[in-house]
Amino acid sequence: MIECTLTQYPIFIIDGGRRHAGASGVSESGPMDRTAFRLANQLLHQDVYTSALEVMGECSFVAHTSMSIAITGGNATITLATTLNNTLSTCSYKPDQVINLIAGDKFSIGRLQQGMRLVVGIAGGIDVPLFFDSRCGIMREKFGGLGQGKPILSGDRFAIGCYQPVSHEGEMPSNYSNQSSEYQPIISPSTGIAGVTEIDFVPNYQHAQFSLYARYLFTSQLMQVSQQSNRMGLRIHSNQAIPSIVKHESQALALGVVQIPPNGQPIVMGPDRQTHGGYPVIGTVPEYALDKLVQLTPNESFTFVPVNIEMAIAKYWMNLR
Amino acid sequence: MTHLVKQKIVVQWVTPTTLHCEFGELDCTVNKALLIGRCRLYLYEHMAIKLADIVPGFNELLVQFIPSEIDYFADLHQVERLLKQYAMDSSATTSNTASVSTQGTGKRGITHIPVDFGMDYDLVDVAQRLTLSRTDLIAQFCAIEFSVILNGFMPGFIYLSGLPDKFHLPRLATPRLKVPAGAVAIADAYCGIYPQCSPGGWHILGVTEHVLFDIDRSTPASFVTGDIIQFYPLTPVITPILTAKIAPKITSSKEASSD
Repeated sequence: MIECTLTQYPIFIIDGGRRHAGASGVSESGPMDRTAFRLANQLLHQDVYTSALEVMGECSFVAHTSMSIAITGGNATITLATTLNNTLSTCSYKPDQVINLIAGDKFSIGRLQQGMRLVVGIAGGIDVPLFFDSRCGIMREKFGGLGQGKPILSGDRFAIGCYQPVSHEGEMPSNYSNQSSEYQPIISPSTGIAGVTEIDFVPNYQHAQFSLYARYLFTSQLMQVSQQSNRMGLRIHSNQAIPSIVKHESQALALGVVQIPPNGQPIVMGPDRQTHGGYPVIGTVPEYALDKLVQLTPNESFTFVPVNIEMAIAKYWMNLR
Repeated sequence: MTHLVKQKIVVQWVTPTTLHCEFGELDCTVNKALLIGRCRLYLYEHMAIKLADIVPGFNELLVQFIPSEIDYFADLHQVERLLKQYAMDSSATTSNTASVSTQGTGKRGITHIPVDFGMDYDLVDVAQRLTLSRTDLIAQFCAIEFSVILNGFMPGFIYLSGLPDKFHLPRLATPRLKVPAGAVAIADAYCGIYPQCSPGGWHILGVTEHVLFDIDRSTPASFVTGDIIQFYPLTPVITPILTAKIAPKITSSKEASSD
């Protein structure tokens, strides 16, 4: 049992996402930053799709049983308060390592110094019911999560599941989980303007129907992720609007599709996107690039860089390795 | 009968785990929703173990793979081959149940959904715009066999095709803030049913108690792409003349759906 004593933002339960749900009009859901999600579970030596928490800012928890956690995805100070022989001691940790808790320990996560969201992996995952093979919940869908699609808010308590470690297959020493991690995901090398993040996108869907000028504007200017972004979609701010085209019928949306609505400000669709959308799509941001995009703060600039699907597939597997 | 053979089905990887299969312009005798729905089941039949999901669209299938099961070239070719093979097979045998022709739905069952036309939302307004009487509108609407295109944008919201041209109306200028759950509504070329209370800009003709989505059922969504639906009015609005027009139809199609 673990209790969230205080949180600034709702905390979402994430896992590998729903399966065979799209034909019922149900969203796929899943983690925003899949690289960080996998890493948290790898650190804990468990299945990479084990459910975890996605937090966006300051929060604190009390562990009512002993458990191990691993926090990944960004940089924030993690403070652990433990009572041993009637004396309270506190110590702080960096992300990307396993932290072992005993019953009664309080841990809190401070303001994010880097990135937009963290993944809190828990050995055994979170024990809530499965719907469409997933524990994710979306408020508007009214099922999943802590119940009725609800995320975790201050005061919520929830059970953790049974820990089933996976064998390390000789890759890591058995005491690895107590060491601070040097585990780093491979991030594709940047070649463009210094200090500007490049976000890969694969031109597809209606890309060919956009004007040459629209396609030029899409890849030639600096953009920012707007504050009005959520798990459904990341609203992108571009100084010059991208001239859109007319599309009459809705279409099925893949993870990371970039919609261009009539106002010319792109929207990159996230895991909680609705299954279908009516705006024209200029391309898709592959998973490894989406993991970078969701971590950009509103004042960080980036550019979209076109890559072909073969390159995207190669980078995807490099990142997964 | 060879129109489907020439069908353009374009299959390509759009993300490292998703195949996008676009169905091009179809001959007007082909029910696209039915073809896409059947193709989806056909893919599941042949490669279920590799799949995470198949999302049907108006003109496409989005095939999501389990990452560890992907074999890029083989899967692309297999999906392409299966879809083309299915399209060809079904065009060659239009007489059997696998037919995707719009002429008759073969032996497939029709689901009849009761609709209460008693509460007046847009029924009178739509009847006026179509220069029909209220009862004629209900009678004509209930004579249509709709095909389910997809559950979309929210769990259990079904888009239905088959609305005749004369029923095509643009959406309401000002969307309603509150459309009741079960509202049967039309807009543009489509008919739809709202699974839950939400805002919406479609013309509401009536309300049904049929539950379109219930997460506690073994199959939460009532309908899948390709299902056939026909509405029938609940008693209050039925005049004797109307009953005479509709009743035989209901009984005859119920017999058809019982086998």
